[in-house]
Amino acid sequence: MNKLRNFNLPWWLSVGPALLVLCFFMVLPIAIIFSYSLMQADPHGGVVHAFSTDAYLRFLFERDWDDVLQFDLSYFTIFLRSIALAAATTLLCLAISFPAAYYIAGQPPARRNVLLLLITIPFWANLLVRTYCWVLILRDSGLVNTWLGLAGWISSPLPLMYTNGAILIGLVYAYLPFMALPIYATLEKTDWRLINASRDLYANPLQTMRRIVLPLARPGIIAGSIMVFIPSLGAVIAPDLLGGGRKLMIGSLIQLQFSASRNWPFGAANAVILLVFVLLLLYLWRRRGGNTTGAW
Amino acid sequence: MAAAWREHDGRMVNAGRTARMPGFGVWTWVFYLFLYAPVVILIIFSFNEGRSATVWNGFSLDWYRRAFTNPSIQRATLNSLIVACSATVVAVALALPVALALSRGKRFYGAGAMHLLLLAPLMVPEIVTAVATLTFFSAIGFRFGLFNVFIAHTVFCLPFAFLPIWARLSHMDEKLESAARDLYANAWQAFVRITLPLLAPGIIAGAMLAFVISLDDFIITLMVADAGATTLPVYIYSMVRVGTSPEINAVSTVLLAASSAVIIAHHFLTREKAAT
Amino acid sequence: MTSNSLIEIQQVIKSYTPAVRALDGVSLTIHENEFFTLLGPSGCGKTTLLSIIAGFEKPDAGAVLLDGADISAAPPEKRPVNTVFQSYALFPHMTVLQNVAFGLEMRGIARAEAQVTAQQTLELVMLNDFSARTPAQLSGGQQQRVALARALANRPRVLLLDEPLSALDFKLRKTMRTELKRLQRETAVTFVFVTHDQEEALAMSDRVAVMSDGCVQQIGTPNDIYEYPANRFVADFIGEANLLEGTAEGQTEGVLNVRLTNNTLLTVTHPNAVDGKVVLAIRPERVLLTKTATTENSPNGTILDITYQGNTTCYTVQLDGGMTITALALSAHGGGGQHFACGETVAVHLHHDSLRLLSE
Repeated sequence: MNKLRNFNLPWWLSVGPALLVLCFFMVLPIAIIFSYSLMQADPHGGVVHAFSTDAYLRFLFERDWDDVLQFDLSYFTIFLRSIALAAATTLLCLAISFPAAYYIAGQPPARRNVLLLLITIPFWANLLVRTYCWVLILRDSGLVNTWLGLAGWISSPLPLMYTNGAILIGLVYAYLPFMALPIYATLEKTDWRLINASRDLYANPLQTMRRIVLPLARPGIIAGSIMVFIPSLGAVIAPDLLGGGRKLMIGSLIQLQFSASRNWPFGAANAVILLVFVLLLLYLWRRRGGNTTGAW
Repeated sequence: MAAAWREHDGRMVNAGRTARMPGFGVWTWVFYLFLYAPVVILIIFSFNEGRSATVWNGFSLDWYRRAFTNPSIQRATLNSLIVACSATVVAVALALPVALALSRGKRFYGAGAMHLLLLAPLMVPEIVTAVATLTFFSAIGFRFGLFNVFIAHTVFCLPFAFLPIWARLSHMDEKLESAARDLYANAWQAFVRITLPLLAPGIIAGAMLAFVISLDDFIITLMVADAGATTLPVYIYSMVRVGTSPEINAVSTVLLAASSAVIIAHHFLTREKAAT
Repeated sequence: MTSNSLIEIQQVIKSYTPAVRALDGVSLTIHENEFFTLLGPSGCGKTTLLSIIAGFEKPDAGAVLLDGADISAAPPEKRPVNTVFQSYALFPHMTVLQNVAFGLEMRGIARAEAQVTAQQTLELVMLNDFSARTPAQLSGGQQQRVALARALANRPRVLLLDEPLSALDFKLRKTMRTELKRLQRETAVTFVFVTHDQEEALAMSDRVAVMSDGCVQQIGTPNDIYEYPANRFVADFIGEANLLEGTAEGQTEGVLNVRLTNNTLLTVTHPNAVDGKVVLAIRPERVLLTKTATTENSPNGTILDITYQGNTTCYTVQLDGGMTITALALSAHGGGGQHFACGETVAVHLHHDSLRLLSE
């Protein structure tokens, strides 16, 4: 009995303004980025309006002084490092947050609520500030090195910053709540009598985990992995603050091209590749059923 | 009514949650320690008397005093608040009619595409949105300082304003509106007397999320903002590039406290929704 | 009960998808001041019909007349018709009193006056002490009464009730049946009641329309549709029935001869001549079992199964030559309540006045 439509504004009045804003300030800018990626770079910044595939060729080749293309994988390496770091971040986040999410889902409602809030706060908290905390801990005069020095275990500071490891810690720390929340949301909806049933049918805790809990938590694990992998891949803050520009990731490479390096077409080409990769991933996820966790 | 029953069922199911896994409890405390220890260190050393962020010299509010009297920080804070407030208001104003049209209006061609487009700012990596917006503004010669930042923020705040409103509408019994019409209310009266009051928590929740997202945004603002249009996170970044200082710790603590306060309020608001 | 027609449904057609018709040409008349029930299994179109009367849905074709005027195009707020929703649809952000006064206020009655009327209506449903509460603070039964009061406060020409008792527990449901009957008598408002529960329909209604697959199968008093089901669907859906297939073999003086598929010859009281294959129906409580056959219409059978049900006992009997029949009898005083034993041979009396000839 609910076919009565109570909202009768014409669509161009209700949807129109938002549609206009999104097309003008979201779709159009991305179209421009796409077109810039196929143009020539202006050494003073910006682009020369002439067709060129140079920006894409730079991933595999370097143009030497004689204008000959030499095989060079230094940029491609950045892309691979980004994928490797994002994948490692995802796996670490999963390993760290799954037991916690499981434990929280099993708590009584009042306690569950508090524990959930304690994950939700860092979920929304400022990423820059949260990453900066690790600068305080890892830098040469930071907490770890100072304390190790005071304890007499090291004579000179350990080089903790500006390493892949530092970036990895920063990324895991940044996106841990993004994994914990969807897994929790899935487990929370699960009928826990299934677990009792499994125990009743002679499965030990480990077997129950493998045969019952993990398969049931699958949608949450996939959703969480997507929500960690995608922002990790395009991360800017962690490689910038903790990698110090020495260990670039694709996000910081793009940022660099639009600021210091001033090669807009190459930056645009990177952005296009990242965008296509991410959208492809999201499309594949959606085809497999998409987000069913209710975490969003 | 139905929600109450489901809640009840949930409690019954919960009563049977006895399947403990060995070690998971301890692990959970390590998990929270990892999540909060770095932030706690930041907060503690923001109250440190000396310059060091590693050795404790004594309690002091000095760095907060310095931060609050620093004109650049004041300017950046004001910018952040102006952008966050205006982007929130506009994002909610844009998202509300879309949510109503999608869930309560006549079906229209392209509704699914509209839904997807609204969520696009969530799907496109932030750095891509950042450089795309930068490029777009520079291509059309659009240079209006803080206004540029406001526009960029409005776009990525849209899905955050939209989702809670839309979720609330989808959970709201459409029969309530039918009942109002049955009781002699016309479409407008039904909207004002029934839909809007019941939707209010969703609108407030959406506004809160949009506000926090705008307040905390760094990458897009960094790329889009001109020199005069610096927001607080961008200012913090520029200070971090120079080196750590307890003043950064103080400002960062304030920023964390602000967004945490909004998120805690949001948490209790949405929890109340589940209870009714 | 007068028989002035209040609502006329004329050839109403409604479909949600091109392939399926939720209502396939429904026509019926509802009289003034009657308790009218739309009864049918889920998906039969009864709720769609109610929505069309309320104005939540527009018919694809056909007309709805109220007091002789076509109201098919009027929005719900322009109809003197109110609804009690299945899940009550009480406004959660308003008090009980505000809920009940809502319709009156929307019709432009001053708030003070509306609240007086609302309070009076709450007395009618015996909830006068609950006016300041919110719906969430009420039990299911109390919410149900508020929903009734909210609709009745407007003194509608017609009150529509969409399965209002389905969310209540068994005991409360029985109390509310009496309560609804009382309210209908006291307010003299026409009630149109939708249910899938035949017991509810038989107990409460002045008249019942049995629906299935978007069509009205039969309209009549509860006694009519139980005792004289028009077709196989009605006989099967209302109560229990033994359906016996056979062939008509001539009619003499209002009595029809029917040869069943197991070759038993039965006589049936039926005014008209019929040819070919027919279906007979007989209620289990009309089937009489005795130890020995005496007259016609009493084939022999063997008791297959006995189910003791307290006040009654149910016997499943296999007739000679195939075909099983169910008989219901009051339980005996002694012998475990049973008149017969399993495997015993009995005569099955199918009285010609109790047999009904069904149209397919």
